[in-house]
Amino acid sequence: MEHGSPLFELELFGLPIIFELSTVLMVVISSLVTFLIFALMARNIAVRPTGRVQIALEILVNFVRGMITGNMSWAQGGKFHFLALTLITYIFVANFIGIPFMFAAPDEASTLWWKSPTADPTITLTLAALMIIMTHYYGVQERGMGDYVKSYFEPTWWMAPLKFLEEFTYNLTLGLRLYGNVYAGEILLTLLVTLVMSGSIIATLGFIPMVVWQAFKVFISGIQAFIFVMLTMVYISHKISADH
Amino acid sequence: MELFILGAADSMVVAVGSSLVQLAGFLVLLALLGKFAWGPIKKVMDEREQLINSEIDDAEARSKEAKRLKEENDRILKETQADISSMMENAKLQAKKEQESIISDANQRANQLIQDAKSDIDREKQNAIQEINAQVSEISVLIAEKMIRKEINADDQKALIEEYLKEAGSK
Repeated sequence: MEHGSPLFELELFGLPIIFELSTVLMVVISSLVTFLIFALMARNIAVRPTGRVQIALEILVNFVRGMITGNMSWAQGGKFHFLALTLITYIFVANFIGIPFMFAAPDEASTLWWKSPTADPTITLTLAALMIIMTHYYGVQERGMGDYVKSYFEPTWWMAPLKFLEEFTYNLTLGLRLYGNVYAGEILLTLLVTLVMSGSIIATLGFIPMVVWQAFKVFISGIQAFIFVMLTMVYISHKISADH
Repeated sequence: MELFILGAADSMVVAVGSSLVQLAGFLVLLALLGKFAWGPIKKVMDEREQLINSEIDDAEARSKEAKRLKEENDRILKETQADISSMMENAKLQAKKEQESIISDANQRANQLIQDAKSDIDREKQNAIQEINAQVSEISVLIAEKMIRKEINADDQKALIEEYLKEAGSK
């Protein structure tokens, strides 16, 4: 079950900049879907709730608010509300988008075009890096450079190398957890689909596990989006609050 | 660049371009959603929060005002009741005074009347006695005239009888 990847290389200042076209495509599609979901949901929003769509939207908004207030005071965390909301929705959409169907081109390498963008480690690590860098930015902004640097030498000075290393492991674990879950799910789903498509008698037995696995993947998509945002908020609260 | 290859497999390369696209895409998504979705959502939810807060404040203020008014009403009612009872007391006192004065007036006048009546009676009695005395003397003269059949001067006779009568009266 090897799928090829459509690569596109661009020379910039002598360095090769490689685009994986399917990932780029799916990132754009996921972003569009996320935007459309929100734009449509927020279209008829009113002070007095007008319908189920608004109720659903507000449940989501308040749910994300609860995730933030669970980690830090609202005075500090209020400005991350929108970021967390966008992030959780985007990651859920990105995880989910590979579940209903996938598309592999009928060429020799069976190039995979339609998939979850989060099944690509580059994407998840990029998001994770963006979040971790942001925690450092807000850490400096909220506590000042002095306290920020001092936090590496707490509780004792020889913790500093570990603390420094920790920042990179945060990035790796945050990104790879998401990637691993989504990628593994897609591989198993691909296998089950191949089994169903094989046309043998056993194939009919593969249909029910496939449906079950799809349902479980929907669950995993939500859980992983939740975990990603939750951990981001935990890291932010570690950086911006003086006491741990 | 070889250092950055993930998983150290030859087939996998770091797609820096994908990463840049994801970065830019996410930032653009944030910007667009901030303008088209988050703005209205936040506005509506903040407005509702303010509305609810102000409604609660209003309700609290109103209940405080109602409590104040009730206390004031109670106070006024109590005052009025006190006023009324004192007025009643005064009226009663006044009525009693008037009653007493009327009764004493009446007594006085009754006494006066009795006094007047008594003096009237006395006077009339005196008059009656005098008249009777006069008639008795005349009648006595007439009787005497008839009895003695003697020609006496009526005036002398009258004076004589009056003298006798006086003597008799003084005895």
